[in-house]
Amino acid sequence: MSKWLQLAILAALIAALPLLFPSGYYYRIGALVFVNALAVIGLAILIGQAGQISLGHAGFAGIGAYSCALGPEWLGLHPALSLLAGAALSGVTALLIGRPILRLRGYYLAVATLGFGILVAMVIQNERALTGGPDGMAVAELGLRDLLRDLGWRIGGGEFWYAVSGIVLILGAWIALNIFDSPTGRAMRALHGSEVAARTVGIDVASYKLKAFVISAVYASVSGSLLALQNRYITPDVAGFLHSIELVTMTVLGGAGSIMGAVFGAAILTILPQVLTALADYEQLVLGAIMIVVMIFMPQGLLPYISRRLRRTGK
Amino acid sequence: MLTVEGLKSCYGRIEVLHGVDLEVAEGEIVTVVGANGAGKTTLLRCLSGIQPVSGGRVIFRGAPLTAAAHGRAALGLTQSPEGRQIFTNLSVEENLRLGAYSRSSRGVRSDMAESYAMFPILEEKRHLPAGGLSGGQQQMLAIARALMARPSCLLLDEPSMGLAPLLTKQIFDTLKTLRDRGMTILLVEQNARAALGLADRAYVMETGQVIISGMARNLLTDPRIRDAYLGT
Repeated sequence: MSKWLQLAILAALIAALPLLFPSGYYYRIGALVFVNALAVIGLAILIGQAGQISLGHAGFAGIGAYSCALGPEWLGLHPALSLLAGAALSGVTALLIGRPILRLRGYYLAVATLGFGILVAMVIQNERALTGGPDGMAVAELGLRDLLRDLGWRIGGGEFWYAVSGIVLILGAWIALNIFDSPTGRAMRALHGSEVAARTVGIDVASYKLKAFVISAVYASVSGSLLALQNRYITPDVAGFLHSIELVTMTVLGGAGSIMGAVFGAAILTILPQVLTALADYEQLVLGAIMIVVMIFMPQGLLPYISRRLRRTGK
Repeated sequence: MLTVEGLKSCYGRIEVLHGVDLEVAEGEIVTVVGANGAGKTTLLRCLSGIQPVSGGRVIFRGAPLTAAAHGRAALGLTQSPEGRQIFTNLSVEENLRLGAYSRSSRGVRSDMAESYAMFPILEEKRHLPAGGLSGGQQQMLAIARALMARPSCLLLDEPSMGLAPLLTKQIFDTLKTLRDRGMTILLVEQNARAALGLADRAYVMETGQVIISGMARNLLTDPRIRDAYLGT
């Protein structure tokens, strides 16, 4: 499917879905899906294209989230600038730790990134004076809504954040799709296939792994910032181990190899728990079972599986 | 074109190349034959920069070769690695495009057309994932991909590995055509008979050293080689 078609479908879905929303609550879920999808797109670049694992990307989400909380509070920085500062900080952090960490492979890389994520969460938890510790802290208002109101456009919080996260998601998907088809994306996919061969054709393997790591860190950071800004409150959970695992699971479930698969995986794993609350005590059980079944029968992920099925019946 | 002087290399503390000397002149096919574990592949890995060198030096086109592995393709030294190592998850055409990664994109299209002319089956399958190709087709792709870099010297590691005799012959015929067009080739092979039949000069390696070298034609009839490597 062409890049523009994929983007058009995504944009159409984001624009049309609210027509089906029975209540304002659904805007919040939608915004949550988009925010998660943004981080997962980043991971799809790292995992799906460059073939490197990270179990610590919530650490970058944490950096992004707390940048938006701390920037206005301690530095008097505007929340929007804090988001950018957080993204830059995440990128630089990824650059610094990525260089030594990405020499590792497979399990070792997983454990090293895991360590990084836990480190960030611990710093946030323990620097009580700065971050409020485990209780979390309030986040300043972005201020864009007030601006819109002054211009005579009243828009509810849910709708506003649905729109903002949706637009950022489309932007993120557009960038990711461009990377996928660029020489950079091809180089990443090549080193995923064979590092030795990638080097013999002239690809600097270490630098492309690092690029993928930094790009995905920035995605996670922006995702964390948006989460903080729309919730107006943030706790260390955003940087926690469970959030890292959640992000990787979404990536793999949706189909790590494709950008739209990432969005799909994020949507399913964000919405499903909401639906399954009806099952009360069995929620986690059903969720786990679904994931096991998908991984056994559709190891490439949901979206690639579905699109292959459709193509086959289409013939 | 390529001179190797006293090349040594270690895996951990164990030295596996004990000072290899070798020379490849422009426009010739030189082959390195030898049994499993003789150090042939290690030698090639040193030349392409994937394996660290612990002693000696390599001179390529008049200058010592010190560039990192990924910088050597741009210098004109391209390896088609052992076990083909094509990018299985990418399409045939993307593989070829990546072969030209280290040079300017001008002329990529016409070079690709040339690859397809050389291996028509690749053109037929150009949009399919390379992982779906047969062993022989993958080998063709590996060679075609290496040529996309427009190398002045091509390093080939066991192109006959796992191929039926007919396919091996086809691959070797291609190498002959390449030489006729002026390509310089260093060919590492276990299939000594085929390699010696094709090459201009040859080196025989054993336990990390060159033990015999000479004109390939003469080595074919050398009794030491006939007994040890040709099995006749």
